Amino acid sequence: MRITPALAGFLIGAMAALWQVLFRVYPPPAYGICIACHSRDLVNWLVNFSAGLNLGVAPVSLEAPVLTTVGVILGALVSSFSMGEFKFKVTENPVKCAFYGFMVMISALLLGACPIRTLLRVAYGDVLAVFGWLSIMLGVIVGAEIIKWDARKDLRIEERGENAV
Amino acid sequence: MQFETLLATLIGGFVIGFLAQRTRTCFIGGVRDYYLVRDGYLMKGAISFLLSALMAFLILRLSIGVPNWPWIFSKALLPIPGSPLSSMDIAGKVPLHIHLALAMIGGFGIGLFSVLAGGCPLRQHVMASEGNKSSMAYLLGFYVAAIAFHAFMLPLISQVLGW
Repeated sequence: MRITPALAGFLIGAMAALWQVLFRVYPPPAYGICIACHSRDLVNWLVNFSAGLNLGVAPVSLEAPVLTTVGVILGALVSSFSMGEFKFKVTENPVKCAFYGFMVMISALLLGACPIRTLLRVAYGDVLAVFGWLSIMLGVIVGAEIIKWDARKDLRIEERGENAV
Repeated sequence: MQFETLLATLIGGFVIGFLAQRTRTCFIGGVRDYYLVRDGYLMKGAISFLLSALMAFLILRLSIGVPNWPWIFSKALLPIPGSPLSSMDIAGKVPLHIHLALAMIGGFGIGLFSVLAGGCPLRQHVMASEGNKSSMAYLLGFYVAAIAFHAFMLPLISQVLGW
């Protein structure tokens, strides 16, 4: 059977709710799945454990960290190897990407959610998360316009180059 | 002991990673593709995620019970805890417009930088697992930011705000 994003979204959404209630991925509420917060919990927990610091983690991760991101990487590795899609490649300037990653994590911690948990919070009935999601959409639109503008600029430079020849 | 939580998040993450790799699921990509070329393929994933979580919470609320669901009826307009900055406000005296401003600034940053990077944090984890070195660099910045935010920025911001 072919898996579509709609089916995957359906399964992940049900899991996010079930995990909180059945496996006590709680508190805080609506924390069943969050890529940014769960990464933060794991990284900070490891730093606290190894360097004896006291960086903030969610209450659920005080004793032992949530391992969602480790699972995501393992699951995606198994899937990409079994489909023969694993291949080392560089798609964009790594320094730029590291900067984007840095900024996304900072922004996600200001909002208290990555895009997935934002929607999970909306499903939990959090009005501020609705505003969070709306500004995510606004950010995407601005970013998409920047990408479009950038592509057009490249095109213009190419055209000019051809004319010169 | 939280052994069940540990195991559940690991297995849950595995399933999410597997599904996301097969379907190229991306929550930011859904909005981007719909805005740029009116392609709803990825957007359907985000919409069905929202509806399915809503339905699951409703069913669980009626059977086992979900604390404070729906949130708006028990806590009104307060945000669900989880943002490090709002959770420093233990007394709960921070005015609502500050919470709103934080949510909007954070949301805008997530949208803007995710679309420039080419995918939401989940998609970046999946692409890194496909061997994409740019995404691996993204993850490095992502993890370093978590430490930097809690170690340096949080004390600074709370000092500026006087919390």
